[in-house]
Amino acid sequence: MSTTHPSLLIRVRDARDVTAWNEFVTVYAPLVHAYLRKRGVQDADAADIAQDVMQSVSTYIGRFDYDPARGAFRGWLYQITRNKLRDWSDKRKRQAIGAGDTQALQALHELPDAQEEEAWNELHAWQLFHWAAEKAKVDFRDQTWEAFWRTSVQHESAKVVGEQLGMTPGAVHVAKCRVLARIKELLADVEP
Amino acid sequence: MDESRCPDDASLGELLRSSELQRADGALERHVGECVRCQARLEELAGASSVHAGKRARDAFDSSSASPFLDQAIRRLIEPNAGMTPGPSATVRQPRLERYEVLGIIGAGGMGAVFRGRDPRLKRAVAIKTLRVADDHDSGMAERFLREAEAIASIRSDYVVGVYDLGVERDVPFLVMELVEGGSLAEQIEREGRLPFPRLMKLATEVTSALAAAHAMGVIHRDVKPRNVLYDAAADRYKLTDFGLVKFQDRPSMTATGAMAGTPEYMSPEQAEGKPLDARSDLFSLGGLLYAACTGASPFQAESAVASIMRVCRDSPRPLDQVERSVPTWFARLVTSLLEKDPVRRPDSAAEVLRLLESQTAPAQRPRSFAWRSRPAVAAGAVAMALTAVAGWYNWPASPEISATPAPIAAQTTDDASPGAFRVGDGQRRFISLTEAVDAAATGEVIEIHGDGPFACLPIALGDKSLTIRAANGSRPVLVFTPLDPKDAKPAIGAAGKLSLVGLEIRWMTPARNAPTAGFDTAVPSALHVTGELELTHCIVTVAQRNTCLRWTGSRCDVSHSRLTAPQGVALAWRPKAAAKLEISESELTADSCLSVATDASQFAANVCDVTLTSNTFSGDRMLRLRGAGGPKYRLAVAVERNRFDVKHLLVMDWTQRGPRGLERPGGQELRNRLPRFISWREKENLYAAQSKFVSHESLALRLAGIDGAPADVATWERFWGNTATGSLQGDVPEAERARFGAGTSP
Repeated sequence: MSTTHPSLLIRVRDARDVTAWNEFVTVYAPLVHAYLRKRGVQDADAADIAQDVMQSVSTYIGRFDYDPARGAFRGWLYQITRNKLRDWSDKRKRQAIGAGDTQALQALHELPDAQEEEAWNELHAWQLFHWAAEKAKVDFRDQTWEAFWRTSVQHESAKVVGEQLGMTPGAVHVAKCRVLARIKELLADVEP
Repeated sequence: MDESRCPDDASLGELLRSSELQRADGALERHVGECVRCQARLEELAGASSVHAGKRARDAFDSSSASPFLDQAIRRLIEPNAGMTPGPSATVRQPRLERYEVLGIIGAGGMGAVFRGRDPRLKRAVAIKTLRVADDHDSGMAERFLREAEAIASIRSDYVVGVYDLGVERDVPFLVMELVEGGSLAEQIEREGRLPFPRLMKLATEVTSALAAAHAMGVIHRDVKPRNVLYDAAADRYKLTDFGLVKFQDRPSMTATGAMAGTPEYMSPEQAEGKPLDARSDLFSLGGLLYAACTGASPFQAESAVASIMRVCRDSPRPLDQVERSVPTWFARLVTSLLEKDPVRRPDSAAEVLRLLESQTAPAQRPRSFAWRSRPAVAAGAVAMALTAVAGWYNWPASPEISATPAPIAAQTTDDASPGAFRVGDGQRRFISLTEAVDAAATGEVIEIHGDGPFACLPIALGDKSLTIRAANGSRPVLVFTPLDPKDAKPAIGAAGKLSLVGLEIRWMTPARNAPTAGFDTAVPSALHVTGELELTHCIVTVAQRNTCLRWTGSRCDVSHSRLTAPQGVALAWRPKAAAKLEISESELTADSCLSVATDASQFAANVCDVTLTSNTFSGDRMLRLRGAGGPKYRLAVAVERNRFDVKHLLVMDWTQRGPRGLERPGGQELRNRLPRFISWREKENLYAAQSKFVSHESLALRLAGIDGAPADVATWERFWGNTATGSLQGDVPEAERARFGAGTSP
């Protein structure tokens, strides 16, 4: 999908583009937060680290040489998140050894890197998809969007969903694909 | 499944792109429902393969999706002044143009704006002039501007405002110049009416000297006029500014902003006729300038720009010594020769004029030694005149602040007319700009504005600060807001807290943008943007072209005894919020759409918003416009009493839905089913002068009239909503008026 305007990742490099920055935070802060939660970090700490990560991104994104290869940014953000998590756990270790929150620290070293990055990529895909699906909601009738959500996310059959929504299975398929096409457009605006 | 019956990609693509509201091809849909191959193909065409949900991650996400800590972190990160949303950034982040800090606005007009700035590297105060360029898309403009500016910077004269630096940021060219504090000659003339002859001599010598220096470098000024001569109070010197810049600016436009952009009163005839110019064009303008300084007005002043141009080309002004008896004949002759229509008959050069002037003032090089310096100036021979003239400088009553040793710049103020017009709290804290007053005021405080202005103001972002900004007793302040960057669409005042504006007139100079096709129009600039509570009392808000007067997404909005004017735009743009209340009373709204309500506030589904309209006059094209994507998801309860509607259309439905083909509009039946569910309209004693009551205008895509059996008059309108309220066009409305406006509307 070609886009005529620069993607969010390009726009956010302009420090004056506040709209882009806000959108950026809305998309990526929950991703970092969810990853940290998955690593066993407590809610409040995860939010603090996520904020820290976002601030680092805002400082360095101007220097992040844009790599058109898909996933380049995803990997970069992953590195920043990992570094921040390590800094935080080092600090935590120094402050109170064995204070109970060592789970996260252990978890950090337990998973092999490849596996851990795969978990990150899964989260990344889900967060962007989820964000775009929510954003696409306003563009469709409730029925259309529900047909899409139930078939493609909840994996219900087109027949069952169609019966409950008063649509033919064919209409359910079409509805699902329409929303997916829109989601694809929205995603291309973020990370082409 | 018989694959030979499968539709081709084109048909499937068509199905995908068609609107969800269009009646689909039943057979095709049925086939897709049964044929696995076509289902897969459809997904492929939608690009679904590249969209994967990462379903294993879903569980992890769901557990943390409702984290208040994360919400807080995001709120801390997000800058609240995205787009049109106001935020505290104005007080937090100093606006900048390249490295220069922008501290305040000095003046603004149709041609651009001048800001007070600071060079942090050299730690000196500067003036920054931004230019509104003639053509946004003129790519060569920046280069020509830079070349021209280089030439200007090469001029060396004590009587020219120095150019320190220049640049182009976001297509906006700007010049960084010496900050001259003391106001312009135009202001002096306005204040004094006319300059006494000694002052006039000083002015003539200094401006001519500036022109001679510029012409020597091959630079023609092209726009010599009192506004472009600044008085440097610290150095007691007149200085010429804005060389050659007029070339880069808009054509004269008197209507768009009402500002005196490109006033032709000082143009030379050859300039007015668009002929090629040489340095002698500046001499003609100099003649006009001296004439104005001596008499108080340009010799070619007229009602309109066109009339003024005609006078420039035709009229010969009366010799100065006949108008002002104190002016010596030689000087009057000089001015007359400068004002010759034919350049050949003017003096050859500024240098020659300068020599003449200096020969007249030469004996006055040692003014302090004169014993008779307080003697009144009487014309008595050129030399004696000049002596008196110079002596007179020291007694010039209009400038008592001028001392033998220049005062430090900081002690001078350009704003003599309104020192500390902006007073905070008990009035002890006084400021010369609204920006400073707002910064100094604590939340809940009152800023009182003394004097009528007009005051040039920078856009204000209040953030959560709650403020009352009001006119002082007896004052009727006019606030003219101009953004730092002409392309910037920041609102004049943005507020997220509680804002009360009382007795102000707000004029908003931001140029309009083209309205986008849908949504809440966040891209259309608005003068006021309030996300909290607003009270607008006895105020006038005027915006140009398609801009919006007030954008409101807050909980309460009271507009009373006010006038909102947006000739081609929206008077009040509203995105309803949970249980919001809007009251408009005793006010006049004049706009293309008086009230534009966003229908896509989906997060507030099932809420009722109260609207009360009492004793107002609405005029323009549309009274109420419902627009946005997705259709309304809330309920509007509208109570309308004793209003006058002077509009073409009372209600225009303009909502769109995004389909695969972009924005599409739902059909008549769809509207007919949905509309009554979300709006209730109770009314009493209103006067309708609607040209077509709820009847469509062919050129606009969607109107209520598109619905079968749409109400053609007020009574049917009420039945349409299921309301039984009566009273419209009865009682107070005179019979004649009723006949005129309300034919066929008796309930």
